[in-house]
Amino acid sequence: MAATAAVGDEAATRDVQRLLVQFQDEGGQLLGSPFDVPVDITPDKLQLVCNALLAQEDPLPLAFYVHDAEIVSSLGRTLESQAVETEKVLDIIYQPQAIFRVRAVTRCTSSLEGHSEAVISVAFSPTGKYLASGSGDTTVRFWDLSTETPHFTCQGHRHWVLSISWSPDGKKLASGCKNGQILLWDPSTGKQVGRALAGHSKWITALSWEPLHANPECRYVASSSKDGSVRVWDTTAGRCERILTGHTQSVTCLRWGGDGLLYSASQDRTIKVWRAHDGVLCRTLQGHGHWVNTMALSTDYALRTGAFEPAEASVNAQDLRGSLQELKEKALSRYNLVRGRGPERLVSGSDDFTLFLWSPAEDKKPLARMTGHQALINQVVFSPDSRIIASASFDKSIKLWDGRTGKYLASLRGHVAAVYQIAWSADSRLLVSGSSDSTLKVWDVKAQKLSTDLPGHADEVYAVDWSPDGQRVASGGKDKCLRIWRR
Amino acid sequence: MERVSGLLSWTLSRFLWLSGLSERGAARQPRIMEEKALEVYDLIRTIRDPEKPNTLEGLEVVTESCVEVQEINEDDYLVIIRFTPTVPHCSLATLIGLCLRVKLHWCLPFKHKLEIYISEGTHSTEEDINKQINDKERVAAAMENPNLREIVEQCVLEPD
Repeated sequence: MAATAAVGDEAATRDVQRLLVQFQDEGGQLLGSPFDVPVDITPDKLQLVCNALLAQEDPLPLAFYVHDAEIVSSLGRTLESQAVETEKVLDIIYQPQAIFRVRAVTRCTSSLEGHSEAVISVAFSPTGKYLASGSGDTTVRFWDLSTETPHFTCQGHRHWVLSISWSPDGKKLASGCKNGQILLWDPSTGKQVGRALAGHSKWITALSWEPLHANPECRYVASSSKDGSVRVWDTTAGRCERILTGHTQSVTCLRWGGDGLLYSASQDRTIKVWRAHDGVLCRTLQGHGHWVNTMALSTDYALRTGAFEPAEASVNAQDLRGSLQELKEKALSRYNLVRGRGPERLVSGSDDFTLFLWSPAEDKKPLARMTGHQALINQVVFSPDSRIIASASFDKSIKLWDGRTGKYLASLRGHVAAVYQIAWSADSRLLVSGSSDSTLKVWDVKAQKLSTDLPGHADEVYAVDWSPDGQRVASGGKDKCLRIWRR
Repeated sequence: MERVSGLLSWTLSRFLWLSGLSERGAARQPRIMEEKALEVYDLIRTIRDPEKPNTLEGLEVVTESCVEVQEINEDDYLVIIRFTPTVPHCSLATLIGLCLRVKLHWCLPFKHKLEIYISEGTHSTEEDINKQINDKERVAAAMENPNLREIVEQCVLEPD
């Protein structure tokens, strides 16, 4: 191979120490056979060699880790602090990074007024074509992203809209209100679709659609409520398919996993794992000492975007095209790629200031307990490539943890009040956070530092979302304004 | 007569019980303030000096007794810090003040109002410096300067 020969020649002339290395992927599979490299080899040269071994059409950007430390400048520098035995073969783990790069948002392009009460939730559709927001003024509004003006105002709820959720094909939006009613909306016309889904006795806390690869028609949606029950609704028939009871207190968060399991977190300090197709309780995960506020699955981003691949995004966002079968296959392949070889991992954040990492399909004991926060955790999110977990807390910090083991990585400090919500960019390199101090901050996750500060809101920022095509960030809060941020 | 004496003794016992309560209440307040003061001290002692490789605690720029916490309202506290620069003409006293302010702003979990002063008689231009480090606008302007921000972040962020 030309790359290794070139590297070898250079080093031989300088008489540098050489080490035996073996490339290994994240799952532990070995790539090629051990060969020796000079100790001052840089990540660029390692990338050339690794790409040559992988023998792919286009060279992939890769990151290299040795003994959990990333190789930034040269192999030698990274190994300085560690005792290296030159006889043994060193394992270098390579991680493919996203081919596309999302640029940090730096300016507010518009401030959209319209809501007459605080904006509680903001969500981009899976392709990034539509933007929806739910507010305390009982309306759900759709916004036109090409002109950055209001598109539709959807009236129908009679109390605050607490939760909104897009179906994975981007054709429907489900919204739940404080009266326990769920309505479905069509983003292209702004009209209600089907019948109102009523049945919960108290307010809706979370909504979650069935994944696209399980059902490309996006027919079923699950809802959780303060009344302690989880209901699975058939949206085409407009009726409740199944009621899952078991929690003794309010269910705070809900996730429909890609394996046919439904996860519900509750104020009764437990997380229950249900089989979605027949409603049987599989497992109860116990461990938290106080209310469980939030949950995230390692495959969340893939389930949210369905068949849309952010690398293929265009400047003008389009609807997904193709037959149902094609969409289903594409969504399934994306899901399997993010999931990797093991089962889905679940992380839960609680009022007891800790997080737990679980492998709920296998074990009811947690994989790791992640402590360090000094106040309650409001939201926890896996990065789109599932390698990093970010947790936002009322102690003004965001902490980063390893997505596989739960090991603590870093604290991102800069906010001066509670951090409410966070959102990842589609390439897993940037993180945006909205806080009670009315600013948003964009963080560079690789450097673990602040990238851009985005002041502008007049009051607390309750919701943030980064569009899956990476172009825009939307934020809304107590000042009733929705702001769109772009590069 | 018995009823009156009964009433009197009841009122007397009540009065004694209430005064006991208030004493306990008063005794409780200083303890909460001490805990909060220790919490604040725990955060500021690990700040590194911009010039030397030691922490502020190591150089005795801050001590446990130099932090005072008073309660203004329920859950709202006034934190007063008096630090001692290493030499009476230390040019980085304002930078140390800025580091103290930023560290507490970012890391202290409870709602607080911060006042930072140089200990009396320990610096040649202490009045001017006190005015500068307590001026919100100058602090905000300083943090917008990227070079200053880098230096402050280096001093303040602990290597995890």
